[in-house]
Amino acid sequence: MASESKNKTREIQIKEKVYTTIPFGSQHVALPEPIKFIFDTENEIVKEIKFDIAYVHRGIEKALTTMFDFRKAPYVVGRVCGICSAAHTIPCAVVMERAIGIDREIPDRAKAIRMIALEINRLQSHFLINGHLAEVCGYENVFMHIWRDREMIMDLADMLFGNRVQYDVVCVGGVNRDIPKDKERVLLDKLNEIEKSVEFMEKIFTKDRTLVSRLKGLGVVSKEMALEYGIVGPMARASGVKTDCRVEDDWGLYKDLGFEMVTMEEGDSLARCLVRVRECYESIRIIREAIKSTEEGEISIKVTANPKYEAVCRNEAPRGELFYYVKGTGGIMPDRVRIRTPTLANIPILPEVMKDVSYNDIPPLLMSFDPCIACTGR
Amino acid sequence: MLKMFLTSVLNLFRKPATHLYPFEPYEPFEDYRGRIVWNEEKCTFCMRCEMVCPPGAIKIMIMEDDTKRWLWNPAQCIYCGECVRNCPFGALTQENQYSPPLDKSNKRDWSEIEREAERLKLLWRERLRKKSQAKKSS
Amino acid sequence: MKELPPEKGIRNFSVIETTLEKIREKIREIYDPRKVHYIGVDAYDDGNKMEIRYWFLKKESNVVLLVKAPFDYGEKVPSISDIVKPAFVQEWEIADLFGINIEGRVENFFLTPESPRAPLRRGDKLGK
Repeated sequence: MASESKNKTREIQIKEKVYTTIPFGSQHVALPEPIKFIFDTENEIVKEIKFDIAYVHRGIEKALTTMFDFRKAPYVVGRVCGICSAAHTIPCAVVMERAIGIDREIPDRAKAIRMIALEINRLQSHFLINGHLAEVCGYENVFMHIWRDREMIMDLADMLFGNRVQYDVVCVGGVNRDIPKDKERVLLDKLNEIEKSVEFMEKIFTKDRTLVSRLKGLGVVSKEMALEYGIVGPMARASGVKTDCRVEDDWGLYKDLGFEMVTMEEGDSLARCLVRVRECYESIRIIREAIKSTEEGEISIKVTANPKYEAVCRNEAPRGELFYYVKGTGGIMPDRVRIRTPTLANIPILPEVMKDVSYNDIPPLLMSFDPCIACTGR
Repeated sequence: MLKMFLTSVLNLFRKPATHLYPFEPYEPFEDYRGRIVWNEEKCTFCMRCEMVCPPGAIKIMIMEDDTKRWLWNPAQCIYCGECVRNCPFGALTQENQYSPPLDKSNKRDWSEIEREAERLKLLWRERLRKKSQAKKSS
Repeated sequence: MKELPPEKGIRNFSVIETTLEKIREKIREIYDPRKVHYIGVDAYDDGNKMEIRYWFLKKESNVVLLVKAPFDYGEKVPSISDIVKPAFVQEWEIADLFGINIEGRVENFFLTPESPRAPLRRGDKLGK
């Protein structure tokens, strides 16, 4: 009798589709940052996703209009995100220069050093996320190898700019410090070593059976879907969308140095990972070219006016398109600063991709999208 | 398989990739952006460093007897070096050493200092105003 | 990025001004995922009036496009997330930051419940 009633309730449950709710975050082993997902799962398959990012809003947009003058702004926005610090400082400085009207006068050497800072930043970010992806897949050995090699890049940044994480090398009107000849030589030597470790990483992510079988075909984003949801950065390029702000915006010398875009067609987690690995080669090449193309010389110009125009700048951060808007009024502080971070553009597609995926595949899938919630919260 | 075995055996004799800190002293790079050092003799208290400091880690106190003090908060400083570049007299330099850890001997209530500095600055301005008025009237 | 002549203090993007009633039609006219990339949503508050702003990028000519519409405090703003699919996240974000009444918004999506309300708003403070 009891078993019969039990069976009945179970039937009712199946009819009504009672989902199990699993919270994921805001503190989770796979996530270094606070984003909260609530998954409604049927057995192990995720059916419905809700998310919440209300944890780390620091009011930097407001601070830029009320507390810090425009010369301090690049130092402030460097603190938006620890991993992509240079990627934030550069568009902020560029957009302030455009708002003042001096962006055409920036010396080439300053542009080249900005590019070097950005590419070193990109290298360490790609190493970080690929190592983390391997760890989330349960492959800690690869994680440790990649992070050991990442230490080389961090030391390189320390040597060139004086700090491992916050380069603080970009200011409104140019850059703060030049790269002397002897350091250039060390940089070029180190790049050869880094290239070797990128080769190692590519070998692992293309040949290793564990990683390939885990990541292949996971979370496929088709080209149509990528366009429809407007995703940016390596995630869009892995789906075959040709978009890269390094060639679309002209604050740097990328067009002169012959930039090659890395794209793949598959659109799964492995492709997103491999796009990042192959971008590392491109970054190394750009650093070499940037050093070769310019000589030591003038690195900054004097800024005498205050921002008075409205201007925008798009920059390719390691995670994708970063958008800055400034409205200057001629005062020492701008009237409005808008920061659109890359993760904010990549979040809307996540519920769509995560649907009908097994729950244990969620951490690698999420990490392949490279979410940076500290950026998103600002 | 053989290759794997060889690597693992060789790894037993290889040096560790990490820095064995207490046994090997850690030397920062030559151009590391470390602590800010103030040279009292060169300083003219022009307040430029206080103005350009992004986090407000430098405060200049103007005492009631017109003596001036230069204060720096190593915990609030972001070590960007903006004050060093902007100092017109070369009174500030940046060393490549880390700033000393904060303990009871050198820890100060910075918010108290900020408030005090603001108050003293107001008093100073008042004194200046009075002086100029006295000059005009005489 | 294409350089446009600086008119009315605008440096390197072009502006389409419209009204709140027509903004959905206007965006439907412009937006095509293959040719136009959606960048983001923004709002602006000058102390008397608010403005909602949608940023797009024309892929072929590489021009950043701004579609903006002014509105009064407390007015209900239509959502465009059925035309531009990813718009909802940033719409909810600015709804929290400016206290805008956008269709279909989720409360406390970007700010925690105990944080100050509408920190970027200038005039007509919500308060408490």
